[in-house]
Amino acid sequence: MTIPNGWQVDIGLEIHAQLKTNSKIFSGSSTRFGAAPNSQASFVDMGLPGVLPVANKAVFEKAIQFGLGIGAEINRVSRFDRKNYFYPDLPKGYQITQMDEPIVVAGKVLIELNGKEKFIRITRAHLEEDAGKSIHDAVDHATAIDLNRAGTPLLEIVSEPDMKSAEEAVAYARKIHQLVTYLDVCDGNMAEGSMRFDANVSVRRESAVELGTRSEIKNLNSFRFLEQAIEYEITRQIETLESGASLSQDTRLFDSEKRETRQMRSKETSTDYRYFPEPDLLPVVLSEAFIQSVADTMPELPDDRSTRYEASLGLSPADARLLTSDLNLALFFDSVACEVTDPKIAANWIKGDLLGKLNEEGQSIATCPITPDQLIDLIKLLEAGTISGKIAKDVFLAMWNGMNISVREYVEREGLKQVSDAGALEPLIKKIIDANPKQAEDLKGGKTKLMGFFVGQVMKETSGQANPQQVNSIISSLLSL
Amino acid sequence: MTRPIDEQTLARVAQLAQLSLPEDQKPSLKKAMNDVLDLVSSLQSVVTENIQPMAHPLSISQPLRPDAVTEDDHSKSIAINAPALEADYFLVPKVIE
Amino acid sequence: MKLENASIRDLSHALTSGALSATELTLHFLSRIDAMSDLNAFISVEHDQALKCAADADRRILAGDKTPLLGIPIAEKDIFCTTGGLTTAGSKMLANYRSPFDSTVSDKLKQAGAIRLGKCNLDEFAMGSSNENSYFGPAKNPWDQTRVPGGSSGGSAVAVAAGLCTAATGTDTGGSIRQPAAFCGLTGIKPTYGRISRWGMIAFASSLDQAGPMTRSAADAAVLLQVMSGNDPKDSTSLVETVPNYSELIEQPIKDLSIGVVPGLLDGVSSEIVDAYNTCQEELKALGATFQEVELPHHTHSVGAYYVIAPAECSANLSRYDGARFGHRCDNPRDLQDLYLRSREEGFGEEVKRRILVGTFALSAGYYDAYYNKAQRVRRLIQSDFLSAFDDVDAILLPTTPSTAFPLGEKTSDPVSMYLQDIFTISANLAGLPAISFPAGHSNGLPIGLQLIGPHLDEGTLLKCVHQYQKVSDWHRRTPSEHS
Repeated sequence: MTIPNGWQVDIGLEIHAQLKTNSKIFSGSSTRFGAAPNSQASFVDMGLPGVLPVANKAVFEKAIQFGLGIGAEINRVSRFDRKNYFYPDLPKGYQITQMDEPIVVAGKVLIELNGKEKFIRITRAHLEEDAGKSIHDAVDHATAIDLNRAGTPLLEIVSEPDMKSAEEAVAYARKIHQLVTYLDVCDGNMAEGSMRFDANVSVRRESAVELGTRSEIKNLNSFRFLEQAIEYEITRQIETLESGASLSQDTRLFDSEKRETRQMRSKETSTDYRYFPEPDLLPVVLSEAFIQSVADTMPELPDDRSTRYEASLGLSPADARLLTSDLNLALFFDSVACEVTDPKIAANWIKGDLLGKLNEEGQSIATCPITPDQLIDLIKLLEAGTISGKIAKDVFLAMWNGMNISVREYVEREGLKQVSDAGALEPLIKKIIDANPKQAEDLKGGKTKLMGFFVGQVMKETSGQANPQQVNSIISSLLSL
Repeated sequence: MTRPIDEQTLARVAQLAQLSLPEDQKPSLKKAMNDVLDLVSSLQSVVTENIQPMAHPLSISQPLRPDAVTEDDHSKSIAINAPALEADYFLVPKVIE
Repeated sequence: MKLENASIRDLSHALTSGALSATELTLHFLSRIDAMSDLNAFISVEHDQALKCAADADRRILAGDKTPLLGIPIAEKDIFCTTGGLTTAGSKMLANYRSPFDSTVSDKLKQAGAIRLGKCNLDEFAMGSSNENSYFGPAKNPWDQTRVPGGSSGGSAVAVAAGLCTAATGTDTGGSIRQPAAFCGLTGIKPTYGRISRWGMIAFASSLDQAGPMTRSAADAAVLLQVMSGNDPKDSTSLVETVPNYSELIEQPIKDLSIGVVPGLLDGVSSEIVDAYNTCQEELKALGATFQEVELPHHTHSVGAYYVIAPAECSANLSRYDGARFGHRCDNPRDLQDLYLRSREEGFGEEVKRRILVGTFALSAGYYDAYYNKAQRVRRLIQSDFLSAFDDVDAILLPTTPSTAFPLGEKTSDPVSMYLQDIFTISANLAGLPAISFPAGHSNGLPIGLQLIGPHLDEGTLLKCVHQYQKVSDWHRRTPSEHS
């Protein structure tokens, strides 16, 4: 979408990421998705009279990892607050969150769009508990409440309004998604609600200094909806202002079928939350030793890994970025690259053949039918000249469809070894040259393109097993080229 | 003495607290609230520059518990107190978003 | 000995020596409860459950178990969640509520073998100083049934004072153990904040609430406090320090114990209480204690700070009572808003509503700094006054209340006059300090209580001082039946 002339857009995102812990932030209930209604809601989660919250250590570990991953400050002392409002999926009538003293402040991430890089600043990231679910169509004439989700730990990541287009917002959202899944902080499963976006969108004249009136679009749960909702909102706001009308600050929901946003009806959105320090929880004091121990267990960050691939392995920036986009993919690549002579060959196989098949079949690297060891064997056979490039592609497909024996054994069994022996090849090549005298003459005469013709013929005759370099060299010597 | 609770403030506070106030109770509630705030007004005269608010009486810090699942399925225990329940869901009047 | 006046130690001896069985003891108290039901000390009496526990206790006693509380009949303020029966918090909102879990306090008492006879009456959600705010009607002071027993742990105080149980649990947020103890001639202690777990104790004001025993003597209080105290991982605010042996500590002499007095705070206190205050000092001096004046410059702001902080915290703590998942629900709610507004209006009494409104106001936009934030700063000043004073003295002696028990209905139309009852008790809650009230005189047949406040975690010193005092005085041994 191009922003209409004379206008600029300011977008900030609030990303709610469910932290990948075994138990909830303030109770020992499981966080597993998809359980029977209210079967993972403890007395604490239900807000029964007399219950008290106790904070989960792992949520702090994950928050710290995220904070370190965005180069942010980790607050050694952070505190919880109560955010007060009434809603049926909020059992206590308040949400325990972090308002004044969040765990993480002031970080940034680098996004790349159309070849240009840009930093997006992150104001803060704080911990809070998720609410339960209100289901409006499960039962006739009533809203059904399931508190399984109540108390699931969330990290709310708040950006500055640094994004200037829907594309930038999506690039940022993807970057955060990559980072949190990389760090195993969040499983990133948006279909299950593990990650949700709220977008704050405002527009202003190009020359305006102050940001315009903003609308907040809540609960977007896919990159596509994020993009569509923001684009609709930009258009709506600009059209409204151009018509001479004014905008009011509001909260909106995105209707994915109609592809438009509309104001939320519930009054709760403009309420006074009366934040105050949570008296049932004490200030959380993190020692240097604790923070260091968390830092020590962090995997290499995607950007660092990408830089390393470029610098030490000689990969191109594009390849490096692609291979580091998913931690499992990067680990797969690492396993292969360290065992073969040329990491670039490993890169090519993975980014080309492997990812191609995965995308074709809608699979992820986690369910890849080929193991790193198999790919290592294939590449080694190729590097040793035991098989040709073309044969390698065929063997790859066979591996993909399931191979019970080792790659070497397969090559043996199927008789796929590359033929490089000049003694075996020469007579065959001679036969082909003799059968094509005109092309031979033309080739001798300088039509170098015809080399491809002869090599192709030889490959056909040998079912692709001839070593193409060898064939080339034999033809050249036979024809005295 | 400023009496900060007027009709409007009372209505706003009651809405935030989700308490409906019968008409006949409003005057006495207003008075009672203003009386309490009078009682409280002496606080304004106390010098508190550079004094940190005290949310907890003791300076201790939050214990962090290990990330273990320790809770079972309690869905069968909710029926005894739930005003409206169906298929293990709590029911409330239909909410329109 | 009259069983209803016997100490825990004496009853324990009688039980372990076989002179008496726990079942007999329980039956004795159950019949007294039934006979004196017009005192309205109990909301629910657990006849069957109590007798079952008594039978278990008898088995343990026969097996040689000599745990101090084994077989001792007690009552619990109906603010503690207990399974097997109702937990009402004295409110229509929870009039039929059955807790699926036990409070840590209730559980500990059960493990120790105490027999719970029932749940005691209280001001609704622990808010009040007279037990007149209960949905189940007021409890009556056994010393004079036209007067209040105090609150909010009024029912617990009545039950012990009238000999309906040996000891009871109460909770104290602004004086709700100490003030009824004073009005009813009992020894009641609010320990250091965090000494006793709040798990299962229905919350009123989270940073101020603390459970404690209400008994007829410091020796009895020591036994109960021992059992009730200790760290609980389910309560983040619970202290980790080990619990000392209170029953041993109280036997030490109080020679050279240095006690602070604050004469400037006695304005408005009835002359009989001032007399008792002065007499008590002489009696403690005779035991070796020394006295000196100390200052608590910000003490007069305690009530103001409290009536911002407590309502603010309670306004949030009581938001969960919305008719959605448990508790009172209005009939035929039209929509969600109607569900909330009507269920809460019907379920809560007047005082609770007043405090929710004040608290909501104090936290609201534009008022948070002037009220809530300000109050929490004054709170810190109040605490630091005490901490400075404790550099010079080991404990501070104050009256518990400005007057003796007032008549039923006298203060119900003037909430602020009721709040001023807590003028001496509130500061210990704000500062998180342990404080004990003990009988130290009579005025026109009504008990007078005095209060000792100590440094954090120094319950031992307070109990010791009162125990030694009780060895040479008999105010704590007086009972209402002698006066009726």
